[in-house]
Amino acid sequence: MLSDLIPALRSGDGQAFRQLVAHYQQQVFNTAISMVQDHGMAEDITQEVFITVYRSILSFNEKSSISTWIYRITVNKCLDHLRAKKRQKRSGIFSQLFHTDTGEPLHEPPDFQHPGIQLELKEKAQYLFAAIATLPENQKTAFILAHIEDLPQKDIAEIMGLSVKAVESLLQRAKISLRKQLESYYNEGKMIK
Amino acid sequence: MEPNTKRNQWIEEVISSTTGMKKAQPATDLYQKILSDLDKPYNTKVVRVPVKQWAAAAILLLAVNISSAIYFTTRESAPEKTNTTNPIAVEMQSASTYNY
Repeated sequence: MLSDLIPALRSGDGQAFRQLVAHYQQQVFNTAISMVQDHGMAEDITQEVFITVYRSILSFNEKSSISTWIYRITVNKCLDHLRAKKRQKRSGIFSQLFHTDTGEPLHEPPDFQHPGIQLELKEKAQYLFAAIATLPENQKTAFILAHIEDLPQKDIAEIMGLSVKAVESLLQRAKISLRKQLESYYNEGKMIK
Repeated sequence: MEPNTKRNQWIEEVISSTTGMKKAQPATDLYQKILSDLDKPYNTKVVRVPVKQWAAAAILLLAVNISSAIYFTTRESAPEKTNTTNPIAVEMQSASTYNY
Protein backbone atom coordinates (compact mmCIF):
# COMPACT_ATOMS: atom_id res chain seq x y z
CA MET A 1 0.00 0.00 0.00
CA LEU A 2 1.23 3.46 -0.87
CA SER A 3 -0.04 4.92 2.39
CA ASP A 4 2.46 2.61 4.09
CA LEU A 5 5.19 4.64 2.40
CA ILE A 6 4.44 7.76 4.42
CA PRO A 7 6.22 6.71 7.66
CA ALA A 8 9.19 5.54 5.56
CA LEU A 9 9.24 8.85 3.66
CA ARG A 10 9.11 10.73 6.93
CA SER A 11 12.15 8.87 8.15
CA GLY A 12 13.98 9.88 4.95
CA ASP A 13 13.96 6.44 3.32
CA GLY A 14 15.35 6.87 -0.21
CA GLN A 15 13.81 3.65 -1.48
CA ALA A 16 10.35 4.79 -0.38
CA PHE A 17 10.85 8.09 -2.21
CA ARG A 18 11.91 6.26 -5.37
CA GLN A 19 8.73 4.17 -5.17
CA LEU A 20 6.62 7.27 -4.69
CA VAL A 21 8.16 8.99 -7.72
CA ALA A 22 7.71 5.86 -9.85
CA HIS A 23 4.06 5.62 -8.88
CA TYR A 24 3.03 9.25 -9.25
CA GLN A 25 5.31 10.65 -11.96
CA GLN A 26 2.83 9.95 -14.75
CA GLN A 27 -0.05 11.55 -12.84
CA VAL A 28 2.00 14.66 -12.09
CA PHE A 29 3.53 15.03 -15.56
CA ASN A 30 0.24 14.40 -17.39
CA THR A 31 -1.57 17.02 -15.30
CA ALA A 32 1.27 19.50 -15.70
CA ILE A 33 1.63 19.13 -19.47
CA SER A 34 -2.13 19.45 -19.94
CA MET A 35 -2.22 22.61 -17.85
CA VAL A 36 0.87 24.46 -19.04
CA GLN A 37 0.98 22.97 -22.56
CA ASP A 38 4.76 23.07 -22.66
CA HIS A 39 6.88 19.93 -22.43
CA GLY A 40 9.94 21.56 -20.83
CA MET A 41 7.91 23.49 -18.29
CA ALA A 42 5.94 20.35 -17.40
CA GLU A 43 9.22 18.50 -16.75
CA ASP A 44 10.41 21.31 -14.48
CA ILE A 45 7.09 21.32 -12.61
CA THR A 46 7.23 17.52 -12.16
CA GLN A 47 10.67 17.83 -10.56
CA GLU A 48 9.54 20.71 -8.35
CA VAL A 49 6.47 18.77 -7.19
CA PHE A 50 8.51 15.78 -5.99
CA ILE A 51 11.07 18.03 -4.33
CA THR A 52 8.22 19.78 -2.49
CA VAL A 53 6.74 16.41 -1.51
CA TYR A 54 10.12 15.25 -0.18
CA ARG A 55 10.70 18.43 1.80
CA SER A 56 7.21 18.84 3.21
CA ILE A 57 6.22 15.26 3.93
CA LEU A 58 6.49 16.04 7.65
CA SER A 59 3.77 18.66 7.34
CA PHE A 60 1.43 16.33 5.41
CA ASN A 61 -1.46 15.87 7.83
CA GLU A 62 -3.06 12.85 6.11
CA LYS A 63 -6.51 14.47 6.14
CA SER A 64 -6.62 13.74 2.43
CA SER A 65 -5.01 10.92 0.47
CA ILE A 66 -1.42 11.32 -0.68
CA SER A 67 -2.66 11.32 -4.28
CA THR A 68 -4.96 14.30 -3.57
CA TRP A 69 -2.12 16.10 -1.80
CA ILE A 70 0.22 15.54 -4.76
CA TYR A 71 -2.46 16.69 -7.21
CA ARG A 72 -2.94 19.85 -5.13
CA ILE A 73 0.78 20.62 -5.17
CA THR A 74 0.88 19.97 -8.93
CA VAL A 75 -2.06 22.25 -9.70
CA ASN A 76 -0.62 25.05 -7.54
CA LYS A 77 2.80 24.79 -9.19
CA CYS A 78 1.21 24.84 -12.66
CA LEU A 79 -0.84 27.93 -11.80
CA ASP A 80 2.29 29.65 -10.41
CA HIS A 81 4.17 28.93 -13.64
CA LEU A 82 1.27 30.10 -15.81
CA ARG A 83 0.98 33.33 -13.80
CA ALA A 84 4.70 33.96 -14.14
CA LYS A 85 4.47 33.35 -17.89
CA LYS A 86 1.52 35.72 -18.14
CA ARG A 87 3.41 38.41 -16.21
CA GLN A 88 6.38 38.07 -18.58
CA LYS A 89 4.10 38.43 -21.58
CA ARG A 90 2.33 41.45 -20.12
CA SER A 91 5.54 43.27 -19.37
CA GLY A 92 6.81 42.72 -22.90
CA ILE A 93 6.82 45.49 -25.44
CA PHE A 94 4.33 43.59 -27.55
CA SER A 95 1.88 43.32 -24.69
CA GLN A 96 -0.84 44.86 -26.82
CA LEU A 97 -0.82 41.71 -28.90
CA PHE A 98 -2.07 39.62 -26.00
CA HIS A 99 -5.53 38.99 -24.67
CA THR A 100 -6.16 41.35 -21.75
CA ASP A 101 -8.01 38.76 -19.64
CA THR A 102 -6.01 35.62 -20.19
CA GLY A 103 -2.63 36.93 -21.34
CA GLU A 104 -2.83 34.53 -24.29
CA PRO A 105 -1.76 35.69 -27.73
CA LEU A 106 -4.66 37.03 -29.77
CA HIS A 107 -3.71 35.42 -33.04
CA GLU A 108 -1.66 32.36 -32.34
CA PRO A 109 -2.58 29.21 -34.19
CA PRO A 110 -2.93 26.19 -31.91
CA ASP A 111 0.35 24.30 -31.88
CA PHE A 112 0.46 22.24 -28.68
CA GLN A 113 0.12 18.51 -29.18
CA HIS A 114 -0.53 16.34 -26.16
CA PRO A 115 1.68 13.26 -26.54
CA GLY A 116 -1.05 10.90 -25.34
CA ILE A 117 -3.66 11.77 -27.97
CA GLN A 118 -4.47 9.20 -30.64
CA LEU A 119 -2.88 10.00 -33.99
CA GLU A 120 -6.13 10.46 -35.91
CA LEU A 121 -7.47 12.86 -33.28
CA LYS A 122 -4.34 15.01 -32.93
CA GLU A 123 -5.51 17.89 -35.13
CA LYS A 124 -8.85 18.21 -33.36
CA ALA A 125 -7.22 17.90 -29.94
CA GLN A 126 -4.95 20.83 -30.85
CA TYR A 127 -8.03 23.05 -31.06
CA LEU A 128 -9.34 21.68 -27.81
CA PHE A 129 -6.08 22.45 -25.98
CA ALA A 130 -5.92 25.91 -27.56
CA ALA A 131 -9.44 26.55 -26.25
CA ILE A 132 -8.57 25.11 -22.81
CA ALA A 133 -5.67 27.58 -22.61
CA THR A 134 -8.12 30.49 -22.83
CA LEU A 135 -10.18 29.32 -19.83
CA PRO A 136 -9.94 31.07 -16.46
CA GLU A 137 -7.69 29.24 -13.95
CA ASN A 138 -10.35 27.44 -11.92
CA GLN A 139 -12.39 26.32 -14.96
CA LYS A 140 -9.21 25.09 -16.62
CA THR A 141 -8.16 23.13 -13.51
CA ALA A 142 -11.58 21.54 -13.06
CA PHE A 143 -11.87 20.64 -16.76
CA ILE A 144 -8.42 19.05 -16.94
CA LEU A 145 -8.87 17.06 -13.75
CA ALA A 146 -12.27 15.84 -14.94
CA HIS A 147 -11.67 15.19 -18.64
CA ILE A 148 -7.94 14.56 -18.95
CA GLU A 149 -7.24 12.96 -15.58
CA ASP A 150 -10.70 11.33 -15.40
CA LEU A 151 -11.13 12.14 -11.73
CA PRO A 152 -14.54 12.02 -10.05
CA GLN A 153 -16.05 15.37 -9.01
CA LYS A 154 -15.64 14.47 -5.32
CA ASP A 155 -11.86 14.17 -5.74
CA ILE A 156 -11.68 17.37 -7.80
CA ALA A 157 -13.59 19.17 -5.05
CA GLU A 158 -11.06 17.95 -2.49
CA ILE A 159 -8.08 18.93 -4.62
CA MET A 160 -9.47 22.41 -5.34
CA GLY A 161 -10.83 22.97 -1.82
CA LEU A 162 -14.36 23.47 -3.14
CA SER A 163 -17.76 21.82 -2.73
CA VAL A 164 -18.90 19.22 -5.25
CA LYS A 165 -21.64 21.63 -6.38
CA ALA A 166 -19.08 24.34 -7.06
CA VAL A 167 -17.03 21.92 -9.15
CA GLU A 168 -20.15 20.90 -11.09
CA SER A 169 -20.88 24.53 -11.84
CA LEU A 170 -17.26 25.19 -12.84
CA LEU A 171 -17.37 22.28 -15.28
CA GLN A 172 -20.60 23.52 -16.82
CA ARG A 173 -19.16 27.00 -17.27
CA ALA A 174 -15.96 25.54 -18.68
CA LYS A 175 -17.91 23.62 -21.31
CA ILE A 176 -19.91 26.72 -22.28
CA SER A 177 -16.70 28.78 -22.57
CA LEU A 178 -15.01 26.04 -24.61
CA ARG A 179 -17.93 25.81 -27.01
CA LYS A 180 -17.87 29.59 -27.51
CA GLN A 181 -14.13 29.53 -28.14
CA LEU A 182 -14.39 26.62 -30.56
CA GLU A 183 -17.25 28.40 -32.36
CA SER A 184 -14.99 31.39 -32.87
CA TYR A 185 -12.22 29.14 -34.24
CA TYR A 186 -14.74 27.60 -36.62
CA ASN A 187 -16.11 30.95 -37.73
CA GLU A 188 -12.64 32.39 -38.24
CA GLY A 189 -11.96 29.39 -40.46
CA LYS A 190 -8.94 28.42 -38.38
CA MET A 191 -9.86 24.75 -38.18
CA ILE A 192 -9.26 22.07 -40.75
CA LYS A 193 -12.74 21.08 -41.90
CA MET B 1 -25.76 19.65 -44.13
CA GLU B 2 -26.80 22.91 -42.40
CA PRO B 3 -23.83 25.16 -41.55
CA ASN B 4 -24.81 25.20 -37.85
CA THR B 5 -25.16 21.44 -37.73
CA LYS B 6 -21.78 21.06 -39.37
CA ARG B 7 -20.25 23.48 -36.87
CA ASN B 8 -21.84 21.77 -33.87
CA GLN B 9 -20.69 18.41 -35.12
CA TRP B 10 -17.14 19.72 -35.45
CA ILE B 11 -17.27 21.16 -31.90
CA GLU B 12 -18.51 17.84 -30.50
CA GLU B 13 -15.72 16.01 -32.27
CA VAL B 14 -13.13 18.43 -30.90
CA ILE B 15 -14.46 18.15 -27.34
CA SER B 16 -14.44 14.35 -27.49
CA SER B 17 -10.97 14.21 -29.05
CA THR B 18 -9.44 13.27 -25.68
CA THR B 19 -11.34 10.00 -25.71
CA GLY B 20 -8.97 7.07 -25.36
CA MET B 21 -5.98 9.31 -24.76
CA LYS B 22 -2.98 7.90 -22.96
CA LYS B 23 -1.15 9.60 -20.14
CA ALA B 24 1.96 11.52 -21.06
CA GLN B 25 5.23 10.06 -19.79
CA PRO B 26 8.02 12.18 -18.31
CA ALA B 27 11.65 11.66 -19.31
CA THR B 28 13.28 8.47 -18.07
CA ASP B 29 15.97 10.40 -16.17
CA LEU B 30 13.39 12.27 -14.07
CA TYR B 31 14.37 10.52 -10.83
CA GLN B 32 18.05 11.35 -11.33
CA LYS B 33 17.19 15.00 -11.99
CA ILE B 34 15.10 15.12 -8.82
CA LEU B 35 17.96 13.63 -6.81
CA SER B 36 20.46 16.14 -8.18
CA ASP B 37 18.02 18.98 -7.36
CA LEU B 38 17.62 17.63 -3.83
CA ASP B 39 21.38 17.80 -3.35
CA LYS B 40 21.34 21.52 -4.00
CA PRO B 41 21.00 23.86 -1.00
CA TYR B 42 17.41 24.47 0.05
CA ASN B 43 17.21 28.17 -0.73
CA THR B 44 19.21 28.90 -3.82
CA LYS B 45 16.51 30.98 -5.44
CA VAL B 46 17.65 34.54 -6.03
CA VAL B 47 14.88 36.95 -5.22
CA ARG B 48 14.91 39.79 -7.68
CA VAL B 49 13.52 43.05 -6.40
CA PRO B 50 12.07 45.08 -9.28
CA VAL B 51 13.67 48.45 -10.11
CA LYS B 52 10.48 50.27 -9.14
CA GLN B 53 10.69 48.85 -5.62
CA TRP B 54 14.35 49.86 -5.33
CA ALA B 55 13.49 53.39 -6.49
CA ALA B 56 10.57 53.68 -4.07
CA ALA B 57 12.75 52.50 -1.17
CA ALA B 58 15.54 54.96 -2.10
CA ILE B 59 13.11 57.89 -2.39
CA LEU B 60 11.56 57.02 0.98
CA LEU B 61 14.98 56.82 2.65
CA LEU B 62 16.02 60.12 1.10
CA ALA B 63 12.79 61.81 2.19
CA VAL B 64 13.22 60.61 5.78
CA ASN B 65 16.83 61.86 5.84
CA ILE B 66 15.97 65.27 4.39
CA SER B 67 13.02 65.82 6.71
CA SER B 68 15.03 64.84 9.79
CA ALA B 69 17.91 67.11 8.69
CA ILE B 70 15.49 70.03 8.22
CA TYR B 71 13.88 69.34 11.59
CA PHE B 72 17.16 69.32 13.54
CA THR B 73 18.73 72.33 11.78
CA THR B 74 15.64 74.53 12.29
CA ARG B 75 15.35 73.39 15.91
CA GLU B 76 18.95 74.42 16.67
CA SER B 77 18.75 77.82 14.96
CA ALA B 78 15.34 78.86 16.35
CA PRO B 79 15.45 81.20 19.45
CA GLU B 80 14.39 79.44 22.60
CA LYS B 81 11.21 80.59 24.20
CA THR B 82 11.75 82.23 27.62
CA ASN B 83 9.59 81.14 30.41
CA THR B 84 8.01 83.86 32.41
CA THR B 85 8.88 82.88 35.92
CA ASN B 86 9.10 86.35 37.39
CA PRO B 87 6.26 86.53 39.98
CA ILE B 88 5.64 90.26 39.27
CA ALA B 89 5.29 89.61 35.55
CA VAL B 90 2.89 86.74 36.24
CA GLU B 91 0.88 89.04 38.49
CA MET B 92 0.80 91.70 35.74
CA GLN B 93 -0.35 89.20 33.14
CA SER B 94 -3.17 87.92 35.30
CA ALA B 95 -4.09 91.48 36.32
CA SER B 96 -4.68 92.36 32.68
CA THR B 97 -7.75 90.12 32.63
CA TYR B 98 -9.39 92.00 35.48
CA ASN B 99 -12.55 93.82 34.65
CA TYR B 100 -12.31 97.32 36.19
